[in-house]
Amino acid sequence: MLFNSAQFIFLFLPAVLVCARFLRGNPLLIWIALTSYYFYSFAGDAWFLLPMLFTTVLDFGLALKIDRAGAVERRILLCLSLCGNLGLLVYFKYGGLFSRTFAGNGSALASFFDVALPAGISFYTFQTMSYVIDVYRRRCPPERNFWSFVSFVSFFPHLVAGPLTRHDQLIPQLHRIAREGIAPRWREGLFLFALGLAKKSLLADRIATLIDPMIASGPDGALRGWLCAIGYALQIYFDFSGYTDMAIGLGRLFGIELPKNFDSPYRASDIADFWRRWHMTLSQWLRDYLYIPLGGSRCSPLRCGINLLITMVLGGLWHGANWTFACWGMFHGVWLIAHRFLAPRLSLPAIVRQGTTFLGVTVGWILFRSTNLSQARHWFAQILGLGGVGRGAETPSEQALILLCLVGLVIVHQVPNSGTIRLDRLPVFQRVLLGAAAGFAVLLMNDGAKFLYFQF
Amino acid sequence: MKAFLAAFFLVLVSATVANYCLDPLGKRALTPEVGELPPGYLYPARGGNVHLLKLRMLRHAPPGSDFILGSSRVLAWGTPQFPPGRPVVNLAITNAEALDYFPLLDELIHSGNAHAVYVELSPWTFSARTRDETPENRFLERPPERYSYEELLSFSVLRQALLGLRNDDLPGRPLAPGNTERYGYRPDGRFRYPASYEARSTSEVVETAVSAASAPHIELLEAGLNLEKVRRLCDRVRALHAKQVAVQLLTVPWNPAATQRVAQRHLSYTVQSVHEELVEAVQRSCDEPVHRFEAACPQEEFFDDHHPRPACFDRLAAKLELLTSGRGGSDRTEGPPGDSKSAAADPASRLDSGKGHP
Repeated sequence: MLFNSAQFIFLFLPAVLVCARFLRGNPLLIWIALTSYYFYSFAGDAWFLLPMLFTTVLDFGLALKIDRAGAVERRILLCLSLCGNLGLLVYFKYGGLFSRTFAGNGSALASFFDVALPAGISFYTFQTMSYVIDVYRRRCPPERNFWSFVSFVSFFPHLVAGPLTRHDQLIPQLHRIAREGIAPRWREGLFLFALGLAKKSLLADRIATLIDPMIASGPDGALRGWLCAIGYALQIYFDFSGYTDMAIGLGRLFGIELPKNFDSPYRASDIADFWRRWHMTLSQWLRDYLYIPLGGSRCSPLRCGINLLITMVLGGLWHGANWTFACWGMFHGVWLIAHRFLAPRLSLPAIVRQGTTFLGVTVGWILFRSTNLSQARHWFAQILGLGGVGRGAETPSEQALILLCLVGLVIVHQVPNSGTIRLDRLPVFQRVLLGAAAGFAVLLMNDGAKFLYFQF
Repeated sequence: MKAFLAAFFLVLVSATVANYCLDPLGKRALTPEVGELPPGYLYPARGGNVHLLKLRMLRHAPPGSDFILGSSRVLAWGTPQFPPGRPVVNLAITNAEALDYFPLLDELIHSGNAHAVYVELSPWTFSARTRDETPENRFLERPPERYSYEELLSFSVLRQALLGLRNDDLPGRPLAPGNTERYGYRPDGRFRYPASYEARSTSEVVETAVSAASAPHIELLEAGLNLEKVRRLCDRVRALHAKQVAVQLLTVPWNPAATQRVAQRHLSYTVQSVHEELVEAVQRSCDEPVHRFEAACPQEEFFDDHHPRPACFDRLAAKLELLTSGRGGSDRTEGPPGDSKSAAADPASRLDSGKGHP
């Protein structure tokens, strides 16, 4: 069951909200947890629930013990938690990659790690890890209500693809709704949900149906190479930010505010600015729990560069067990290092900086989208013109793609960020237009695909 | 919020109403009624029951008609290949199995007013892997089905509805003359394949033939024959003879490229071997000659691996006329100059060995 499915919109969500309206205290939290587990069981196989349950019970228990333990024991318990969480990630996500790389495809090791990846495992593992680390650092007390902790981990709006929500952002709100009941913000919630659905169904999925066959067969010529690259840059943005809008909108239907995840990233003036605007919750997590503990920027320039590179490569690998993600992370790491040392010496007009940042990020997405490095190499060769200029707008589907890309570029560069749009402040014409777009998005839901970030 | 919600629900309600009323998936579509035949017309429609349609066509055929029974492979065979003025009704059903023949043959026996009946014998039609019993509702009008809310709220269904409206191609309605993307019979009784199918070049056909010859449906061939079905066919053939109706049993040509491809796959059978097995079984059980045409046409006379074009049926018709001394297959006892039993047994005297074709 996906957000963009009729079962979710017309059956699951109304049923969950109606019952939640009548509940308070632990029964409400239990209801949220159970319905979230029910939702999650449809995200793949039912056994996906087991690793999530394991992480939840492990970190809930260890956090309580850490709070009471002495210094040495605290450290041991923290290691236990990190090993448990990272162990799950390594087994389900990275074991396959390393065993295939170092032991070969048909090896016994490779078949041991040949398991399906539970949806959203990277998200909830990082959430509970940050919780345990914060309890260890005594930045927050441990949560003593098991059901509010279960709800924090599994709350279905953010469960499968974020936003990566911290305990201090969600648990206090869960306590509040348990105390006072849910206070739906219908207007804001439904509007944001509809906006996200429109982004996903009308733009991301339409672009995907056009570029996927071209990418699969290998784009030929510079024009097609660039068309596919720009198309994918727009697809991933509308797909992921559409999902995030829907998640935040759903949260508001429970009276819960989930953290912002996008801030018009393609309007970033440089690469550092881009990472402050793109997948903000992951960037913040990596900054707080990886980059700063490594030493951050308060060290020698060389060490700072290494810290950046490690953070970005691991951030890349967080997206998936493929060397293309590692290369994508390295690409951004190198770019961030170059930016840190060269930016103070360069003075470029804002529009040039914005344009080059967008183009650079678009080129980076080639590594992200390619299924292997040879596909990426071929794609890079095409955009560099090594395969000739080629043809760009011959077929109706290419013309449709160009049109969609133009619309998408106008939206990402001109239209305000969805979080800042207030429905009641829009002219009637625009409200009608948005309502119709949301209606067509519902009609197109069945022709769409899964959200891209489900695989991470 | 009101304007937003009003527009939102207006789109959903409009799509739901259009999808329900236009019925693009044919869930409530009825099989078209059949008028007097001939002249034939573009009967096939989306969403109807083709079995029932063929039964209705049979019942409305003029006395003394010729009937063609078979699968989609003989769809392109009809009026142009028969003597002028002879009413011909093609009862072929796509993916037909032997069980689909029997109710139609029973109806022909019951009416007793056919001039001749031509029956396609294909190994997969009598394959042991096909069903043993005809479903009871096979020749009845299908009960209407409900649309799910996902279908009613689907843009692709709406698109089908709007395209169907524009092209006059909504389910349950007889094929419109202007609709060239669906097969059907023209007013003069000639068969018309979809334009895209007609436009295939020989090289495309060969390519399709070679790939289709590797398709899973060909595996029906390796299952062997269901001799009980052969026996049931023979019972009906004898009953037709008793009513003075001529019956011609024949195999249908295969694209030589596909035949060759099957042979190259080193399977436990070849196109020739499965046909020989079937022909022997039929001749043994029916005591009836079988006209063997499986290698009768060159590759440019096919739409794909095993669907002959009308040109191929011209060739077959000429040979059938030869066999029946120009009598349109009306008398089995007078037989062809070369008995087709012996023709089947002697490869050199086969009706068409494929030699001499490009």
